[in-house]
Amino acid sequence: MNTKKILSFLAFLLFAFSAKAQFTITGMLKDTINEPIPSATVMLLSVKDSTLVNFTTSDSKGNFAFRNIRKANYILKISHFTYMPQAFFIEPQEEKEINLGLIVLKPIAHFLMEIVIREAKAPIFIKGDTVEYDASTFKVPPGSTVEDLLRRLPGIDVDVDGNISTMGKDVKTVYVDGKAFFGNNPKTVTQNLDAAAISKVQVFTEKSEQEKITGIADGSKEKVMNLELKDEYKKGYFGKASAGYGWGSGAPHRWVAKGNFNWFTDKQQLSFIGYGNNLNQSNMDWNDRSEFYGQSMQSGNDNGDFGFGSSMRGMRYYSYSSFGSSLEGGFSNNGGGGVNYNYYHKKVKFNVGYFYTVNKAFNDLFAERETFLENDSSFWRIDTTHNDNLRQNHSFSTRFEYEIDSANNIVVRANFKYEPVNRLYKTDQFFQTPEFVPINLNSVNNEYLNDDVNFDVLTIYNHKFKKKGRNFALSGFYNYKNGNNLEDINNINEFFYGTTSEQIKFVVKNNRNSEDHLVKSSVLYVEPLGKRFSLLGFYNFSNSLSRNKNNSTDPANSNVEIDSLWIDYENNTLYNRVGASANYGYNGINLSLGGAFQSIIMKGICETRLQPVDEQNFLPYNSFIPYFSAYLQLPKNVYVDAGYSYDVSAPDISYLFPMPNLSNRMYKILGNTDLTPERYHEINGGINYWNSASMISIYFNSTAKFYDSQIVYNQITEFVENQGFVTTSTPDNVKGGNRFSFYSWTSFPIVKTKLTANASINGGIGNAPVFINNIKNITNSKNYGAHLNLNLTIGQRLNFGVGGSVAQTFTTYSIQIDRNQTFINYGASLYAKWQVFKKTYLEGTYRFSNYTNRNFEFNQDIHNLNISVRQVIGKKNQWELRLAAVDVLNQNEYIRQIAAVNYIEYRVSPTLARYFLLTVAYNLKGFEVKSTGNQRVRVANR
Amino acid sequence: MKNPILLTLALLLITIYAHPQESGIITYTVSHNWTKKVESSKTMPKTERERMAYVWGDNSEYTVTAELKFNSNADRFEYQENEEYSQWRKGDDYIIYRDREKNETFDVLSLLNKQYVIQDSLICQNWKIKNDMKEIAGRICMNASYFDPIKEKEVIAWFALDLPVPLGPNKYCGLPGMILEVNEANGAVVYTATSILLPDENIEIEKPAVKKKRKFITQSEYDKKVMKYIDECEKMQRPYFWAIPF
Repeated sequence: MNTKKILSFLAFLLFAFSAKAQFTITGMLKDTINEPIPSATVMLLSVKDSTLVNFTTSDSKGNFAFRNIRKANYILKISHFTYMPQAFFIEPQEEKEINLGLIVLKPIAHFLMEIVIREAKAPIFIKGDTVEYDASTFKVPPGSTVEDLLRRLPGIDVDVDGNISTMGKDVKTVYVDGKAFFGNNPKTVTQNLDAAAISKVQVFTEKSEQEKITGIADGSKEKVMNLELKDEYKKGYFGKASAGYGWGSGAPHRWVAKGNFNWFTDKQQLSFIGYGNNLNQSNMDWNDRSEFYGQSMQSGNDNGDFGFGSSMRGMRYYSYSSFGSSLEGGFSNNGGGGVNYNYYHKKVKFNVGYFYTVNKAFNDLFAERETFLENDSSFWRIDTTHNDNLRQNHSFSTRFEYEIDSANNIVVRANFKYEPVNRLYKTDQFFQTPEFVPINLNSVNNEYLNDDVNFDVLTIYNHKFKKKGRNFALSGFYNYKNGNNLEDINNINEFFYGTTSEQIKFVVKNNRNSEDHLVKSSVLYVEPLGKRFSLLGFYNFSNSLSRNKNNSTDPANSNVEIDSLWIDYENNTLYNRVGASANYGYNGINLSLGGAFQSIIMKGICETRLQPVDEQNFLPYNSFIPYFSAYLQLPKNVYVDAGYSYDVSAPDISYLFPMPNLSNRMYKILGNTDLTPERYHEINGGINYWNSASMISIYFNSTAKFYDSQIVYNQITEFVENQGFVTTSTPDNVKGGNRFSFYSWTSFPIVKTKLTANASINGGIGNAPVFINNIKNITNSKNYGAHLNLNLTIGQRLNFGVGGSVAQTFTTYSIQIDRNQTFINYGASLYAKWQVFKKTYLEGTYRFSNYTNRNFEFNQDIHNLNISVRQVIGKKNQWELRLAAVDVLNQNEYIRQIAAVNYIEYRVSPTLARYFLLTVAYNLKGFEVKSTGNQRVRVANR
Repeated sequence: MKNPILLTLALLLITIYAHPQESGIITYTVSHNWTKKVESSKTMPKTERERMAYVWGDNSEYTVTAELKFNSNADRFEYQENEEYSQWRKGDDYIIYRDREKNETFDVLSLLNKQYVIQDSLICQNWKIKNDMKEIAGRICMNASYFDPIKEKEVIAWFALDLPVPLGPNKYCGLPGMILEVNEANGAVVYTATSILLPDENIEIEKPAVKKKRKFITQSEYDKKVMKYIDECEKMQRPYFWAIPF
């Protein structure tokens, strides 16, 4: 027998012995008028932490007993639903039985029981002889003092002079959070302190100083009141600011600055943000957005267009308007700032905000394009383009939601936007034969000054009937848009093909104005039919009125108006749609089948200087729209969805406007007032699987679109003597055109929590018909892409990733069968994040891209390397210093390859490349520093 | 059972359960507050928790109802079908069934895509008795606390002083009175009794029917699976309660 065994044997003996050392506790409960108290709860608690060890109830004579209790110290606690709880220490010595004798319980004071507990539904907290309760359940008007609050509290009397008494005894001392406040006059506190700051009121009997010292009760007991202040944890602020300066290629200096500040209470949120940089960062990131918008993020999209699949179950979507540069590549200077205010209180949600952005961007773009015509002919175009944009945006938005009662809810939302844009567009287009013999050089030098105003207001009213699931909703929407565009068109075409050479100048000033009014309204009604079925009916109305005017002058001819370019065009589109669907929803199976009748009526009036008023009235375009959707929740977290819809929508005003766009003489775009609505069928289906135990997730989704009628730009390209290839595009309805695409994604751990992989495969196949020189061309395209990423985590401090991707596009043209195109893009990436020390982080990423195109004999590699080091500083981690080297190899470039209707194109633009940046950031609340210590060990004692 | 207190408790529970009690049906509303769940989470970075609390604020609560049926021998707790949610989403299995006569649990539930029956002897929580009183569903209750060591959350239960049945919602039990309110992690999940029906006759309580394929496990095996998953989530700084109950 070794020592361990002996010890455990001894322990067993000790345990067996102590188990035999048992005793009994008895007692008898009576109230203050000597009546026995039956069915009181008597509990034995451990002295250490009040853990419940045993319990019993008193019998009809008020007697209770715990028999054969293990000998130990206990707290014996007696509770009853009408008496104040009492507790005793039980410290057994040698005796086998402890008799507590007669125990007298005091009833809970009438005011506490009836007014605090029963009426105000407030919990009471018993601490020895003190009873306290939650003052916040007793309502006083805002701005009231503590005295006003005390007057409402049961059991407390406040006389006209403000003297406080309870149960006939004067309260001479008032503490705040247990501390004496402004000397001995309680009225200084009660008449000055705001009632809203108080969470609890306690009244208790204070032992006299003498009693505290001697422990002998001297009878002179004084009533004392303690006011506990509210936890202000819901009030606060946070914010951060950063500024950085650096050097780089292409520009003498690089800079960035950003700051935000948020102040909030439980009802209000106020936030400010401002940013500026010349690092091509034109948007706030997601974190900044969510902090700036706060709770109003959740009401990003109010949709008043009720229809199939409409539900009022509070599905939420995020929608952001994106500001900033839309240039390809290039460089941009960005700035912006805003203020947002949210008010949230029970039934009212209110939000108002203003945001300003400014974006000054320029780029130089080089492009090569080969355009195919019929009979194996083609031509080349080489572009050098310069864009210079200054775009500003003022946006003001407000939203008000009011829950009138549990059945009625109303939302009003309004937005106002003003966007002035100044745009400079210069391009030299060098046209050549397939043998690279020069044809002509077309130089465009245009300047645009736009002023756009957009205002909209939406109201949604929702009513829930008493019958569960029966719903009614009504919406109204108005949108006003006004655009004023001044265009300076400057076009010079030099023709030098063959023996002739000629120069044609086209200089004109356009003044374009557009004004749009849109009124929409929708009604929705849902009627439940039993538990599983429901019927949904809806009606949509929409009426839009658009007016477009153009007035052109000739600067070469003392700004005389050009009659042939004067036009005033008005279009009116009226939509009416009425529909219904039957829905089944039960136990994870959701099916919806419906149909709608839709009518579109379009009307146009056109006035020109050359032609009198021309009025076009179209016949109503009526269609029946079927609809189907299914959403199934299968066992083991498998979700399947499928749907079919048919879309019929009126052509956009820009397609209809019956005046050519003349900003480039070689490419004219005409309007077509004979267009009919676009119609297509859409079928989609998907499956989704997520296993939370193995952490494997799989997602697959596919969509197919079949066009009955599609609006496309038909083209006529003609060789015009002394000009070159002039292309005229006209929108028209064509039949046909299909597109099928799929996307699949999976993520799975190879070694759980350490090595994970995610991969995706996507693909598409489609054909698009378009008429080229009156011959139908069908562009067939196939594309696929795949990626694989691996992520490795070593310990808490080291994280690696490696990935690869490939994307390929095949395009064929029916007018020129041998012009098949193949584009391939390869990519590979590598990254590492390393927490070197507790507050020091090192990060590096490397990205490789390859672009290949055999037609352009083009094969380019781009290597992109970024390295940064970050140090958090200070006791509270409030400061951060970051040194970043971006694009160390100075290879960044913008590259695109396009295979479209009847051309292939390659575009390249220099953009922000190598720079070094040193940033200092300050965070009011401190930066997050991951703990590098060991994992906590969870102990479960069950 | 090395802990003497546990031993006493187990012995005591057998005596409690052996006592014949009246039968009843208690309806609870169960509110889930995602912001408070996230706030209590130790697996997510602090800044992320603060951001979620700021963005979601008060608008992150949903309520379901549940029912506890009990008679002298057995009790069964399960969620009721909610018309708003059940139509488009089917809830996971979750039935807590206890046969007090046989001192046996028969909890039918699913965890991480698998379906189990927990068959084990009955064990209740180690409650610490506190000293506050309030009214719930017309009855005066006292409170008690318990720290859940697996999900690391503080639980406050309010038990009725005049309904001496040692039962409660979900798996909570072992207090001197019926548990009428449970508050987990400072309001992240709150069970509140809304109606108490105490009929004179003994009501029937069905043992949950299960398919043959179901796997039977013990409570500690189940707890181990939960702990393993929570540890994995912690390593990935992801909250566990997206996938398993809070």
